Amino acid sequence: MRNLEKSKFKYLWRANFVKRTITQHYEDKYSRYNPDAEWNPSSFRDFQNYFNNHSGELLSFELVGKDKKYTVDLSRPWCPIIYSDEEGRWGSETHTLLHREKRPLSNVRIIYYRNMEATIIDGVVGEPRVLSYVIGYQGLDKNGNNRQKTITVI
Amino acid sequence: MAATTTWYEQNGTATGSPAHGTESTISSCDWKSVDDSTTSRASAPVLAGANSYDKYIYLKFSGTFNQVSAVKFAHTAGTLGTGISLKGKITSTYTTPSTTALGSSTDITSTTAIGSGASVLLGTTGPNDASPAASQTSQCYTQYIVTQVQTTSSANAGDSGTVTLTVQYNEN
Repeated sequence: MRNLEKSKFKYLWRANFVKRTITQHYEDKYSRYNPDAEWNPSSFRDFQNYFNNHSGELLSFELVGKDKKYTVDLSRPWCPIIYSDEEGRWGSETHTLLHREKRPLSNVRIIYYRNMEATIIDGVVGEPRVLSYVIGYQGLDKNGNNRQKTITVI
Repeated sequence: MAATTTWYEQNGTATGSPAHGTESTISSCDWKSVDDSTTSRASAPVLAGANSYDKYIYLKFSGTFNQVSAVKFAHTAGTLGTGISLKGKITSTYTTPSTTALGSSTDITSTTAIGSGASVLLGTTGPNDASPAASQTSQCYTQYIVTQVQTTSSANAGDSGTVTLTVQYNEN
C-alpha cells in the first residue's frame, strides 16, 4: 500500500467492496476534508457512509502494514473469519487463520479503532501515541445476542 | 493526522452556569500551594502537613477523528514518597480550587493498570457538559480530571517523586 510510506501510522485500513475499494488516507483525511475546520471526520467516516448504503457488498476489511496484513473476511458475511498474512524474509507468505465464527450471524459490522495513550510524566505533558490497532467484527446471533471478535495488533 | 489532544486547566473562582474557572492550555501540570497553571512547583511548594490546591485538568479532542470512546484515567507509574498521598476524582462539576481535602475523591497514591482506571466521559460543550457520554463523534472534551496532593508532617523535604498520569482512549 503506497499510502503507508507517507503515513505516520504503522497500519492503514482498506475496505474491499464488490464495486469499490476505500483506503484510509495516509493522513486519515475525510474525502470532504475542510482545512479551515478545527475538527474533521476521519477516513473511517467515508467507510461508514458507504457501508451504510452497501452493507451487503463488503467483502473484506484489511489492516495493512509493511510486512503484515490482517483481514476480516466477510465474503461469507454470515460466517466471518479473521486471518493474517505475513511476508517472509525471502518473499514467501505465511497465511494464518486467527478466528472463524462458529455461529451464523446477521447484521455484521466492522470494528476498527486505535488504542491511544496520552501521559503527564513528572508534570510534563506528552504527545499522544498509538498503543495498538484493533480490528474485528460484531453481529447478531440467532437469539439476537450481540457477538463480537476483535484482534489487537501492536 | 489523528485526533489532536490539547490539555487544559481551569483555575480561580467558579463562575457562570454551568460553573467553570479560567481556562488555560497547559504543557505542564504541578501540584502547588497556589492555584494557577504557570508558577513552578519550586516557587510554590506544598509544605509538609498541607495539601496542594486541587488541579482541574481535562483534554480536548479536535483535529481528525470519526469517534473517540472508552476514555480511562489512572496514576500508572511512580511514587510521590513518604507522607504524600494523591487523591483524584472525575467530575463534570467545577468548584473553586482550594487546599481543603478533596471531597468524594479516590486514593490513587498507588499505581493502577490503566485498564482498571477511572472511566471518563466526553462532552461536546466542555468539561462541564451536563450530558457527557462514553463516546463522541465530533469535537469534544473529557470531564474534569481533578487531583490533589495531600501530605503529612512526615513528608520529606525537597522535591517529591516522579509520577505518570495516563489517559487512554480509542479513536478511529
